[in-house]
Amino acid sequence: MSRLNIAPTKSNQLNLKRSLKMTSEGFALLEQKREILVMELMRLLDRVKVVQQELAQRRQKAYATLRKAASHNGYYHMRNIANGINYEHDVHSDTRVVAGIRIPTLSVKQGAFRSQYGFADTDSLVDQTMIDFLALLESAGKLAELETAVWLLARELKKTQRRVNALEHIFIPNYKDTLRYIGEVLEGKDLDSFFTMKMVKKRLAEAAEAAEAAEQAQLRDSDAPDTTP
Amino acid sequence: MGFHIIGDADTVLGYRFAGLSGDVVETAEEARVAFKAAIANNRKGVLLITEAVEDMLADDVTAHRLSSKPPYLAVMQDIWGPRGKRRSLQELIYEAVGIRIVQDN
Repeated sequence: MSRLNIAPTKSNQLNLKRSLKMTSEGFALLEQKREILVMELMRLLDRVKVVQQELAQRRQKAYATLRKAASHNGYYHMRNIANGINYEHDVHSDTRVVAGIRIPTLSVKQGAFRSQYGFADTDSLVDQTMIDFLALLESAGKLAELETAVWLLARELKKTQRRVNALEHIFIPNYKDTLRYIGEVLEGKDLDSFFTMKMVKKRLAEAAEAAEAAEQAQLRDSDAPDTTP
Repeated sequence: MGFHIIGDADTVLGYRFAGLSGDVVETAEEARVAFKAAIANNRKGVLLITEAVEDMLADDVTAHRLSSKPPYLAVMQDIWGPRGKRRSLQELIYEAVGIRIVQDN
């Protein structure tokens, strides 16, 4: 049992009760947020698997083609060709909001494949390299979107998890224990004062009785000694 | 803005065929300079980096990722094949959700 270090008074008890209520509400909200985040991440997980598989395939193909093309045409020739290639890729980003986190969504408009170099001293492997890498780029765009989303959601989920745990295992039990403690102490005090009152009442009654008896005795016999304590 | 890639000469050459602009870097220092410049210039785009570059700049990359600002990052494999075991996106999700608590080696 752990409790906060505060004096067991009625006003503290009221304050604590209010805090406990708010904490419980916050806990319920955070718990919901956690569930939403978990659901979102699990949904992303499926997409991540698909995209990564697609990416791995396209990457292997593109890299293999590049190696082949380089060995056929020569590395320096390839570099010269590459310097002349220019595509207009347009990336448009938007945001969607999941559980209060802004997550970017990307839409990529790629330049369409077209020949950008002389035919005379290049072979089909160069064309194929270009086609393969354009395909790879499409997957890369999807991956970028997913990576960003997963990183942000994962961080938020970890944060939420920690808060939920702190509330569930530390704050709420602390408040409850302290409230129980204060309740017990106040009850004890109540009993104490009740008992004291009884005692006082009893003493007073005794005193009154004695006084009355004395008075009557005095009335009966004015020489009787005074017996009041 | 569109795509940009930072990586070693051969990987960058490949992506040049898809019309990307690219920075060729060899050392961590070069990579850091290129990465900073790319972040500053390439607003609203996708920044591809190779695994080698990610390893060189682990801290900067993570910091940029969590800042949730464009350019958006994607890590691509080097043309020379994968660089050892890496933490994949799936593992990141599993860890966050709590399916797996401890990283297994």
